[in-house]
Amino acid sequence: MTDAALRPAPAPAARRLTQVYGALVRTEMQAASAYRAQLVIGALGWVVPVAFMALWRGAAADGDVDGISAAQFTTYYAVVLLTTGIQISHGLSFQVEPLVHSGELSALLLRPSHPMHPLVARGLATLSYAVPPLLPVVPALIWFLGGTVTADVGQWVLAAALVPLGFVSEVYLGLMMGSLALWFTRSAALSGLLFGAEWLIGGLVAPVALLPEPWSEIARHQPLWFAIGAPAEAISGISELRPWVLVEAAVWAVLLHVAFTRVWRRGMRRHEAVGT
Amino acid sequence: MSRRRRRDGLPRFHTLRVLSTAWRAELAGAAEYRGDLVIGTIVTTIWLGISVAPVLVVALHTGDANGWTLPKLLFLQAVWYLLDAVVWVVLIVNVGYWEDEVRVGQLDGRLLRPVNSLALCSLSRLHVPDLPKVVLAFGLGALAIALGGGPAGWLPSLAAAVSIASALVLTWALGVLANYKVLTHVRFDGWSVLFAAQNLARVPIPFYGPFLRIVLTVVVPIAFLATVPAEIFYGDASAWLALVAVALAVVSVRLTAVLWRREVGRYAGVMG
Amino acid sequence: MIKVDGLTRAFTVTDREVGLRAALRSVARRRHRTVLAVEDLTFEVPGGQVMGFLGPNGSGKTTTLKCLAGLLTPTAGTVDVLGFTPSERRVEFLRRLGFVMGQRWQLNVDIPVAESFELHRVIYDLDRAEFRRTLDELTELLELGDLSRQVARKLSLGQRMRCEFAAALLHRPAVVLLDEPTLGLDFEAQQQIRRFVGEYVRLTGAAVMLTSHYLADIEALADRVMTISGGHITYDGDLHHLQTMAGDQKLITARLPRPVPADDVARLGTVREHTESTLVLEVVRGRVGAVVGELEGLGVEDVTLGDPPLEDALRTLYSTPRTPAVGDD
Repeated sequence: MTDAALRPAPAPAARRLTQVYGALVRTEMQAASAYRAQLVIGALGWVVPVAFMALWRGAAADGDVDGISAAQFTTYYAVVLLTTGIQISHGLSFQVEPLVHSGELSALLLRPSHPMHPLVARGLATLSYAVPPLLPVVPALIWFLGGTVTADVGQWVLAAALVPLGFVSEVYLGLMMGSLALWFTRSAALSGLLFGAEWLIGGLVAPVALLPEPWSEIARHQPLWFAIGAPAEAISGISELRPWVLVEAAVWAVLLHVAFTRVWRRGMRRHEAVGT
Repeated sequence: MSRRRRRDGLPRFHTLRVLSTAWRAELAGAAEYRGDLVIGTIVTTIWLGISVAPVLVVALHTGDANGWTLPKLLFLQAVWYLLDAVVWVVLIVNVGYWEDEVRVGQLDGRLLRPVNSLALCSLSRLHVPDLPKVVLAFGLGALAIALGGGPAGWLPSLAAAVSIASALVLTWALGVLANYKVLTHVRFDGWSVLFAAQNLARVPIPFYGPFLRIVLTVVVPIAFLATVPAEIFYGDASAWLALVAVALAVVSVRLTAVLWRREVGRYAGVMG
Repeated sequence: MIKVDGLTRAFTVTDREVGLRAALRSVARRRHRTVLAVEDLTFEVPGGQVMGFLGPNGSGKTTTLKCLAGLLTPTAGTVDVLGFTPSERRVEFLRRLGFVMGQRWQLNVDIPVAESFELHRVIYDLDRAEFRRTLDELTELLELGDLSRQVARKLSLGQRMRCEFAAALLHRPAVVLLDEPTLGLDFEAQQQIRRFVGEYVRLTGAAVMLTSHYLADIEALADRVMTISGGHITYDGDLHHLQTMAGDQKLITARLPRPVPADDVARLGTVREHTESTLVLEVVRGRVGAVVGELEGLGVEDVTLGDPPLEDALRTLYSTPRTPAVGDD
C-alpha cells in the first residue's frame, strides 16, 4: 500500500474551511480571554458614534436638519454603534504590516491554508466578546434618548440582510489595505485611510443623505455605506431601502473577493522577489 | 567652565539635553525614509479634511449649532488636531512600542539609562512623517480666526494659549496613564481609553447635555482638551479658567510620574 | 564589586486549565500561584573577574542578572553592586553599569550607529574628549571600521552586535552583565566578541558576569563558573574543577591496531565509541591505571587520557535538583 493511500482523503473545501475556522476562532477566543482588562477597554470604541450622535442631536435641537429629527439621529447613531462595532476590517488592515515585517508571514505561508485566515479568525473571536454587550445597549440608548424607529417590517428585514453582505465587503477591503504592506515599508498610514473613508462615505460623520451632491448619491452605491450607514438609515426611517440594494451589496462582495485575490497574488510575487 | 550639576553628578536639564539629542537623531533618521514623509504628509492632509468634515456638514445645514458658529467649531477642530499631533508624533511611537519592548526585553535596556526613565520611554522618539499635522493644525486655527468672531482680546488669547499648552500635557499624561500597565501586564492595549477621550473631545462638550457636560468637565476633564481653550478664546468662558487647566496639567504629570515609578518597581520584564 | 546574599525572587503566574470552557470561566475567575525563579542565592564577584553563569533555560540566570541590574526588586535577600542597592536605580549606579542582552537591541535601528553613540554620550554625560578616546579604542578592539556611519538596520547580525557592545561599554562600566552576548553569531563574530571582552576586563578591571549557551564563550573567558538549576546554585568554583567533577570520570581514547571484540572492552568501563580502529572509554578516576594496563594487554599502543567534555559535567549539574553550593575549596 502506498503512503498516499494511508492518508485520509482530503475533506471538501467548504467543510475544511469551516473546520479550520472553528479551530482558529476557538484558539483565538481562549487567547483573548486571558486579557480581561482588554475586553472591558474594547467597549470604549463605542465613543465615536456616541460623539457624533451628540453633535447631530445638538445641531437638530432647534429643529430638523434637512428633514431629519433629533429622534432619528439618535436611532441612526445607536444602530451605527452596532454596525461599526461588528466590523473587523480595521484590525485586518493594520495587522498585516507587522506580520510582513516580523517575517511571521513567511511562516504562515508554509501552512496549508491562506495566511489571512488566522487574522480573520482573530477578528471573529473578538466579536464574540465585543458584540454581546452591544445588543442591550443599542435599544436602551434608543429608548432612553427618545429615538424613533420605522414601523416598516420590510425595512428591518432589508437592514438585517444587508449587515452580513456589508461585513464581507469590509473584510475584503481591510485585507486589501493590509496587503499594501507587501509594497510599502510602512503601510499603516495608508491602511488608516479605510477608517477615513468609513467616516466620510460610510455614514459615520453624518448620514450620507446630508452630504452635498453628488457625494450623497455616490456614497449610496458603495460597500462602506452598505456595511455601516444603510441599515441605520433604514431602521431610523431616514431613507427607504429598496430590495435591489441587496443585489448591489452582493455584487460588491463578489467583486471585492476577486479584487483581493488578485492583489494578494501580485503582492505574493513581490514578497518572493524581495524576500522580506 | 563647568556646568551646574545636580546632586547625582549629572548636569541640570540633563533630561532635556537627552531629549533634544534624541529628537535631532530622529529627524536625521527620517531623512532616510523620504517616501514615508511624503505619504505621511498626504495622509495627514486627508485626515485633516476628514476631521473637519463633520463640522462642515453641520455648518452646511445649520447656521449656528447650539451657539457654536463655523469659525468657533473650526477653532475647536484646530486645537483638537494639535492634540492629535501629540498622539501621533509622540505617543504612538513611544508608548505604542512598550508592549513589544517589554516582550523582547528591549525596555530593560531603556530602564537602565541614567536619565528620567518616564521621559526617555515616553518622549524620546518622534514620528516625523506626522509632523505636518502640527503645521496643518496651526493653518486651520488661522483659517478659523480669519473667518471672524474672535479672539475676544489679548487676555483670552493668552489664556487660550496657556490652556492649549496644558491640554497638550494632559493628552501626553492620558496616553501614558492609559498604557503604563503594559509594563506588568505585557499584553495591554490602553489606546481605546485615549482614543475614546480624544473622540469625545471632537465635539463641544455642551452638546452632550447638562449631565454629561458636568461629568466630562469635573469628573473626567475632557472638556479641558479642546472645548475650554476654544471657549476661552472666543470669550465664552472666563480667561481665569486657564489656571484650572494648568493645575490639571501639573496634577496629571505628578500622578503619571508616581504611577510610572510604582509600575517600574513592579516590572518583571520577560522572565528568564 | 558584586555581593549577593540570600537572593530570592518570586513571580506570580496564572493557572488555567486547557479548553475553551475553562478559558471563558477564567474571564470571571482565575487562579494564581507563586513560583520561585531563584531562591537563596549567595555569591560575590570581585573586580577584574569574568564569571561564567550557566544553567538550562528557565533556571533563573536572567532573573539573577536583572536583580543585579536593578530591573527586578528581590523578594528577599540583599544585592549590593558597587556599593549600591540596584533596585533603587540610582543614577550614580546606572552610570557605572553595562548590560548587554543578546539580540535585544538598544541601538535605534533607523538612524546611523554614530547618532546612537552620540545620544549615549549625552545620556551618560560623557566628556567629549573622553568619549572620543573610548570610541576610538572600542572601534579598534571591536574592529568597527566605518560601521558607525551606517544605519543600524542595514548591518549584519554580527556587525550590529559589535556595535551594541560598543554602545553598552562607551561609558566604561565597572560592572558588566552579559546575557547571551554571542547568541546567533557566526564563529568569526563570536571570536571577535570573546577577544574583546577579555581585553576590556584586562584594561578596565571590570567585574563581568556572563551567561551563554556557547560553552566556548565560557571556556575562553571565565576564570570562574557558577551553575544554577531550578533557581538554586549547583556549583560555584573554577572551570577546571568543574570539568573534573563530571561524576569523577576520565576519558580514555585508544587507537586499536586490530579490531577488538565488544565483550572484551565492555567490562573495562562505559564505552563511548568503539570502531575497528578507535575505542573511547569512560572510567572511574581510580581505575585508570588498571584499565590502561588491560588495554596494553589487548595490544593497544596509543592511549590518551582526558577529561569528559564540559557539557557532561553541566548535564550532571543541571539535572541535580538541589545540591548545596560547592565552593572552590
